[in-house]
Amino acid sequence: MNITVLNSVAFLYLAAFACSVLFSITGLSLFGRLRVISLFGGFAAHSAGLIIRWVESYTLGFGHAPLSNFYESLVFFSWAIVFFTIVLGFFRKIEELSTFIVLVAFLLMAYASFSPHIDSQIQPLIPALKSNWLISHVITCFLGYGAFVIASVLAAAFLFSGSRRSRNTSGVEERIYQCIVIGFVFFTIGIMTGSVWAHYAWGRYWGWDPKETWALITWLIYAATLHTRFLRAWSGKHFAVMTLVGLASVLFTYLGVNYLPGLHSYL
Amino acid sequence: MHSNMNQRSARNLFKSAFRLFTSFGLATFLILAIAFLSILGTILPPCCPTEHMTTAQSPWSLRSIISFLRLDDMFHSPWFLVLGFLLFLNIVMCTGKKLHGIIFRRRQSSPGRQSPVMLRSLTHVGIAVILVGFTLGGYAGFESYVEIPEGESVRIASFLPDHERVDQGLAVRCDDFTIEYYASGMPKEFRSDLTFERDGEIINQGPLLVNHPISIDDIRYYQAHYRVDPLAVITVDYEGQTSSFTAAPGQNIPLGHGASLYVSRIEENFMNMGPAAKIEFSSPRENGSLWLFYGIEEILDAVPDLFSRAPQFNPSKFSGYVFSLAELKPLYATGLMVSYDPGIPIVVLGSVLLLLGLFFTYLAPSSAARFRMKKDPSGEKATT
Repeated sequence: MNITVLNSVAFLYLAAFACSVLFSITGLSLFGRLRVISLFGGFAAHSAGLIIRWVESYTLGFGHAPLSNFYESLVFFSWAIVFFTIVLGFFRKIEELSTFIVLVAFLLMAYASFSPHIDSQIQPLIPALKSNWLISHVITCFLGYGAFVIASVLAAAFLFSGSRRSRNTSGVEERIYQCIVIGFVFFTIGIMTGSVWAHYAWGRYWGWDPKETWALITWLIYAATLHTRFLRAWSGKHFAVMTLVGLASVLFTYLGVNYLPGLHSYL
Repeated sequence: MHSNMNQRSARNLFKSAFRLFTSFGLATFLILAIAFLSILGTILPPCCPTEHMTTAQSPWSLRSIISFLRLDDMFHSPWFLVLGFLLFLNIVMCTGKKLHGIIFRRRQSSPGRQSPVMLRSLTHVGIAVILVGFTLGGYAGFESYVEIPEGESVRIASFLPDHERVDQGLAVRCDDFTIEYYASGMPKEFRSDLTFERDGEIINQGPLLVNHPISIDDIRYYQAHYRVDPLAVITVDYEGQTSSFTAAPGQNIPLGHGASLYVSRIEENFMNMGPAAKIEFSSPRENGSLWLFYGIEEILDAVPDLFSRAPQFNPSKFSGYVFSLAELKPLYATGLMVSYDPGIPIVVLGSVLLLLGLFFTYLAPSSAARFRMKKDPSGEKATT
């Protein structure tokens, strides 16, 4: 049941993306309304799918939050991106870029739902994952990742269109900064909760495991990016480039470290 | 006069150093430099052992250079430690400068407006405190690992001999080790039933599970690993008397009358003929080796002339004795991680300060202005 619901989410996000593109090209309000309906419908189905999956894990006798394997992490990553798209769309006016953000969410859901290499079945937890810290650690880290992805989409847009629309660049830069701040706060909490969990599970809160180290690298890059806001020479394009470097670090922290020997692994 | 000039130049040097160490530019450089070294630390060993990089052994080989620069142990290398220390200095001096400014301005302006700035400084104070706690843990703490077979006891001091915190009389016994599995075969729980004894007196007894460490005298014990070794249950018939022994590889068993057997190997599936144990028999009359198979009768059904083709498989090879392998039993040894870290309370304090600082900097209602920060056109300094 949960897999059926979550599979449908990819199509709803695809519809939201298509309507966004059509709305941008034609300007027809019908597409604008359909975009909002499919985005909100997709997010509602996405949330419902996660809840159903959580409930179903109890009926299977495992009983754990849907945050424990690669499939579930992709699904939650996508959820976090759409969550921030909706929240920031209301408060920070990023609707003009939501097309690209929704495309990222769609790609993540499509990969999770239809890749033959990803097992979408609910699996029981191995002993190391049986901890309440799993929920707080994964949720905060992926909320951080979600905000960083949105900052990166904004930064990419800033780089590609900033010179042509110079009047709006400071506004976009401000929104990038705000997204990084939100992501940085969540990611800091994510590293802390992970450290507490590591303290209980492995006997040390920090062990220079590749995943831990890359989380620190990502944190340092975003800390430096936040500091560059105070350096005049680093504003504008440099700031946007730093944001994209941060995204590369996020992606390596999430996926790349699976190819390095360590205690964290999704693959 | 010359002395005055020296004093002035020293003061200028100090001012320049102070300006450098309180600059955003240096902070950004140090953060990025540490990030870069951390990247090297994950890409270089252990993922790419240096011996695989080049076979050349000259002092200018890549391996030698990496080793000389201590890049194969990046997080303990002088480069990393120096940069970490400089970042610590930068944080402390920036925070000190900010707090000094607040205290100085407080005398001139309304004190109420300065408190949010002070609270925002907690972010950097928290990071500095975390670095202090981490360093203390690294120097004064320890980590160790020990494997204890079921039924055996180990004195803690035997694997942590030089640490003064370790109680010389404390011992830990593994009463039982169990693995619970899901129906799919995936492990569900690793459990060690441990007894901690001090000079024969039980001071703690209970199960140790993953994610649930046991703490005694501030030293924590974690369920980290396990090992399983097969044990052979061997029966020996000699002159109508049957006796049974359970032995691990390397164990010697006296059989009486000057005879003994030594278990040299245990295999769970030897040559696709099932569980087997190799023994070395020795008596005043003869000696030699022998393979015992758990399913010897089935093997004989399949290969009736087995003993003539391979006499070392014949359990009656030695006169008067008939050996048989009754079963293989698993012997578990629990693997415990033992650690002590006096820096943890300081790291926790630093983490709380860091979170409070982030809250007051970015999330508290009074920080709304900070969230929409503008740059001073003159350069580095920020205004809110």
